[in-house]
Amino acid sequence: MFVVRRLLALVGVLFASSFLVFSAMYAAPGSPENFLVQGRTVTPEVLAAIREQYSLDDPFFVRFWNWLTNVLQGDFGQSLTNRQPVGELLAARLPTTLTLVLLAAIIIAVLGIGLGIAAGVRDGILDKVVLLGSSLGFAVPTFFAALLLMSIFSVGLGWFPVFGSGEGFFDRIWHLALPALALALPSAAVVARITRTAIREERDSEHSVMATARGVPARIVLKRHVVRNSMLPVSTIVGVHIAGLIAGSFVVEYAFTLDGLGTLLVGAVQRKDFAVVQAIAIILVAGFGIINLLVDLLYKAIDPRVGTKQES
Amino acid sequence: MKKKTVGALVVFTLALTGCASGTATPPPSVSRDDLLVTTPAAAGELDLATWNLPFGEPASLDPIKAFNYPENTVVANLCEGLMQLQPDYTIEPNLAEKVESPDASTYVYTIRQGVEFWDGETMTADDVLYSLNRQLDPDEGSYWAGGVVDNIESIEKTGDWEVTVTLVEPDSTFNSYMVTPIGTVVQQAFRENAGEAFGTPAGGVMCTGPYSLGEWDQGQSISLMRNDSYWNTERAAKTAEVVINFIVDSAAIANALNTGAIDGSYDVPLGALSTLQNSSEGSLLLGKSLQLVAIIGTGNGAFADPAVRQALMLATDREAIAATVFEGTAEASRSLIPADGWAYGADEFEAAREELAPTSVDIEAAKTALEAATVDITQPIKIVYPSERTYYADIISEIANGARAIGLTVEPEGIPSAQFGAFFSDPEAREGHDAFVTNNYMDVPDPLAFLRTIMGTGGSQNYNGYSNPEVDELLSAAAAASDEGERADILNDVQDIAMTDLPWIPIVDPSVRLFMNDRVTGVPASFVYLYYPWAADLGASE
Repeated sequence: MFVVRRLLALVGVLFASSFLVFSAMYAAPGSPENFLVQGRTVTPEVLAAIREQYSLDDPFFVRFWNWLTNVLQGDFGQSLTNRQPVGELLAARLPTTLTLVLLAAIIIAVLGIGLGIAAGVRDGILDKVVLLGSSLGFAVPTFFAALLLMSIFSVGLGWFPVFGSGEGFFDRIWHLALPALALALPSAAVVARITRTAIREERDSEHSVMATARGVPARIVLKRHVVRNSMLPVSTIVGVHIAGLIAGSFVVEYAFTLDGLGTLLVGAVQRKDFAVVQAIAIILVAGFGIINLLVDLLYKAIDPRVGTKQES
Repeated sequence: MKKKTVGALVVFTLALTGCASGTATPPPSVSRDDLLVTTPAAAGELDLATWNLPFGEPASLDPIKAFNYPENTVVANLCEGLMQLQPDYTIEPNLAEKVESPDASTYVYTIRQGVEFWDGETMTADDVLYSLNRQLDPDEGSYWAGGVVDNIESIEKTGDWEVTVTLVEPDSTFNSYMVTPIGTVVQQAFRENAGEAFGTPAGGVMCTGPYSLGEWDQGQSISLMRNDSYWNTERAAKTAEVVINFIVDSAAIANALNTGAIDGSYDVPLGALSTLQNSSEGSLLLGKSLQLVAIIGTGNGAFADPAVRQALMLATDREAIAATVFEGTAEASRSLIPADGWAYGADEFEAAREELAPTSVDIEAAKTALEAATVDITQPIKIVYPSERTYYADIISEIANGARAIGLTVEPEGIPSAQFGAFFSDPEAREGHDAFVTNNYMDVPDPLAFLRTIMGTGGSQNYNGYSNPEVDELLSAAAAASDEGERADILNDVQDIAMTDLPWIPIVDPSVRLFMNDRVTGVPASFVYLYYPWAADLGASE
C-alpha cells in the first residue's frame, strides 16, 4: 500500500515537473530552428519548412498535449537536432550514466560509511586523517577533482584512459573508475563525516552505555546498537546524495568526455531540443523518486518502527 | 593547514598539466610566409588513427545539412563534390571529369564514368542531377539554400553523362561552390529509401568518397572505414580506419593529444595551446587559413557610424590580440579579406594588400577619424559574444582599452551560445545590440564570394543593412568578369571601400592550428579540411 501510494505520487510529480520543464523551455529565449542552422543565413522558406516539420508554430498547450499523449503511447518524439527518435538517443547514453552513478554510489557507500565507522569507533590518528580528508574532499569541487585525478592518474602515470567510456564490462569499469571517484568524492566526504558523528552519538547513547555496563561484549554492542542505529540518518543522507549524482554527473561527463545523459541534456537545453530535454527530465525525476523510495524501504528494514508508523 | 594542502595540490596540478603561465618558451609569432599548406607526405599505411573534432559532434552527415566545422570536417571524407578544393586552394575536377563555361551564367559538367558508390552501384548523371536539385527543394531543407543556390535558374541533364547548370545572373564564382556540399553527390535510391533518417546514425549516407561511414557511436566517436574500391586509386586512403572523437573541453583535448590517446586535431582550442606547444608526443603546426575574427555591426547605436568604426579599428591593438589572446597563432587583420583568401589573382591581391593601412595602433589618426562622427559618441557600445567562449571577452576588453584612449566606451555583453546563434539569422535577436563577434571563414577561397555576402545589398552576412550602389556595381562586374586578373582588380576596389566603410571591423586572421602526433603525418595544414578528404592523406610518418 505504502509503495503504491508512493508510486502514484511519483507519477504526479513527473507530470508536474514535465509541465514545468516544458513551460520553461518554451519561455526561454531563442528559437530552435535558428540554432539548427548554426547561425548560418538560410532562406525564410527553409526556416518555415523546419518549423512546420516539427510543429513549432502550434500554440503552447497544443504542443504540450501532443507531447503528453505521445509519451503515454510510449513515443518520446524526435530530436530536433539529430532527427532521431529520442528513445534511440537515450538508449545509447543511458548505460554510461547508469554505470557511472552505480560506481559512484558504491564508492560513496563503501568509502563513506566504511571510513566514517572506522573514524567513529576509535579516537586516534585514523580519526584525525578521516576528519581532515573529509573536509578536503568536501571542499574540492567535482570539476577540480576530475582535473586533478586526470592529470595524476591518466596524464602523469598513464594508468587510466584520458577520455571515453569504453566498451565491454571491464573496459567500461576501467574507463569510468576515475570519473566515478571524482563524482563520488564530495558525497563520500559528507557521508563519512555524518557517519562518524552518528556513530559517536550512538556510542554515548544510554542504551549503548547500558549494554556495555551489562557486560555485553564490545563487538556486539558496536554491531547491534551503535552501527545499526547510526545507519538511520546515514541511509537518508546516502540516498539523497546518490539521487543527486544523476544530475551532478554532467560535470564529470564533460571533463572526461563521456557520452552520458548529462552532456546530452546540456546540449539539448542549449539547442532547445524539447523532446530530448523532456525525456531526460523525466528520467532524472523518476530516478530521484525511485531512489528515495528505495531509501525509505531500506529505512523500514533497519528500523521496523518506521513501517508501523506509516500504517497507523 | 587545509589551505596549505589545497595550495600545494594546485601547484602540483598546474605543474602536471603544464597550465602554468609564464612558461619558459615564448609563444611563436606567426609570419604568413611560414604558414604551411601541407604536412610531410605519409611514408606508410596505418591500421588505425584517431582524430578529434574540437567543435563537437556532427548533428547530421547529410551533406546539405553540413554547413559548419563538425559536419563538414567529417562529410569531406565521405562525400565528394563535382569539383575538389586542393590544399593550395586550386580547384580541380573531381566527380565531374571537366567543366565548360561558355559564359558566367552557364556551367556544363561532364560527369566522370566508372565511379561507384560504397555499395558498388555506379554513379550516374541522374544521381548528380538529383543531388544538385536537392538544394532547390525546400522540403529537403538545405542549409545552403539562399545566396549562390538562389541564383540557380535550372539544373538539367543535357547528355548521358552531362549536367548543365544555368544561372539567373552571371556568377564567376559558381564553379568554385561545386567543392562545397552544393556540388556534393549522394545516391538517389539510397536517399529516397532512407527518408527522414538520412544522415542520422540510424540512416547513414551513401556516397563515393575515399572513406565510408563505419560505426557512429553517439556522443563518443564516428569511424571512417577505407573504401577499398575508391575510383581515384592515386588518392586512396592510407589509413584503414580513422576514428573521429568529439572532445570539446580544452583541458581534455590537451590531455588526449598530449598523451597520444588521440593522434591529431584541426584547430585545437586556444586553451590547449600552452600544453600542446611543449608536447613531446607531437607538434603544433600552423597552416594557411581562410578564417577571420571580426566585429560585426548591427546598424544600431554609435557603432552604426563608419567614422566610429574606423576610429575603433585604429585605436585597437590588434597585434597584441594576435600575440596574447591567440598566443601568436594569428595575425592582425590587414583587410576584410582574410590573408591568402584567394585561388586566383595572387599578384593583384598581394599588391593591393600592401597598399592598405598597416595594422599598428594609431591613436592620433583614431582621434582624427572620430571627429567625422555624426552620432552621439558618449553612448556605450555593447559588443555581444557567446559567454562560453571566454577569449572573445579578452578581445573585447582589448578593444575597450583602445576605445578608452580616444574617449569611447566599449562594453562586452556575454550571452549563451544558443541565443548567440540567432544573431546570424534573426533580425529580432540583433535588435537593441550594437555589434557582435564572429569567427568567420570563407566558404571558398574567393574574395568575391566572401565580400558580396557582407557588402552586397541584401547579402547573407550583411547585418547592418549596408548598401552602396558603387559596391553593388563593382560586385556585379566582378561576378561577370571571366578574366581572373580583371576580377581581382575590381575586387581590390571593393576592398578599399570595405576598409573605409568597415561594415565589419576585421581583428585577426587566425591560422589553422593543427596538432599531430609524431607517428602520423600527411594531412593538409591549410584551411581545406572542411571540403577536402584530409583523412585519406593521413598515414604513418615512418
